[in-house]
Amino acid sequence: MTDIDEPQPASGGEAFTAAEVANDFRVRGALVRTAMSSEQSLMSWIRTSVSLYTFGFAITQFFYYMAGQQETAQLSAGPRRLGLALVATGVLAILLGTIDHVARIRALRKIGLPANVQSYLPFGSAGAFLLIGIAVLVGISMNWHF
Amino acid sequence: MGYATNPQTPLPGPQSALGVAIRNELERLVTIRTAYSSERSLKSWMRTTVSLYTFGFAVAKFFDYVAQQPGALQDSVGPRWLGFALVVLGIVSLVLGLIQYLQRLATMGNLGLEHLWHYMLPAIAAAVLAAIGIATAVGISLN
Repeated sequence: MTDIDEPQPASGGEAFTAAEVANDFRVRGALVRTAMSSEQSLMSWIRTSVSLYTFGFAITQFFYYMAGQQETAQLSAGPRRLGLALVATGVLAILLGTIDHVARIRALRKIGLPANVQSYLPFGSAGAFLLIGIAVLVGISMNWHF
Repeated sequence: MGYATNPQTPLPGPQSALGVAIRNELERLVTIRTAYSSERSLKSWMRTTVSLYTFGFAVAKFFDYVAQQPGALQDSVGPRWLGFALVVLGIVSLVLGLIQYLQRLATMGNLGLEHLWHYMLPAIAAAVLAAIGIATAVGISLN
């Protein structure tokens, strides 16, 4: 890879700067596409976490329901632990995925992503979704019945 | 401004140093986008796997529950086998998806993708999900 931060000794006699490279409309378009690709990756993390939350929550609630149906049945700790593990994985995944996305956008800004390209919408929904996951996690671990 | 805002302006030729630098930058961004796309594919496999786990677990446990009801028919092992098979299918597809992801990442590393460890988060999450699946499968088979 060519280091584009330093002006290069030109082969044809002309020098150029990093800003000139970033200003090329093809490079600018590529930067915006890369930023959108990172956004789609974050949204993909959100969908993955939704699956993990749903499964984890469904398992625990299903077993509360079954325990309520049969007075004699002893509630096994296994499904609850499985549910907790799944929701915790989902919370960690969305947290690290969001951090990853922010780091990627920052790196793209450094190499010339235009400042008017906003990427706060998926970031905001990921943050809200993270709070929901933490609430579910607290609810399961405190044995709340929904 | 120049050609950034006006595509009609002649582009720097491919022989010039600026043209070469632009082409290198474009190639670098293309590899990064491909790596992000590959990440999304792995996450898509993770979602498929979670659906298989959910369905397999639900089938196995629901029929367990029905069989325990008073006046129920003789306990049948069919649903438990179906549930077990679904969970195992989920694990296998996830592991294959993970291997494919790592292979693609290695290929892109050869093509000049930098900082390969930045793309390890989905791989770690997939490994955790596979471990959870194995625990589920063991739980179903031990009833």
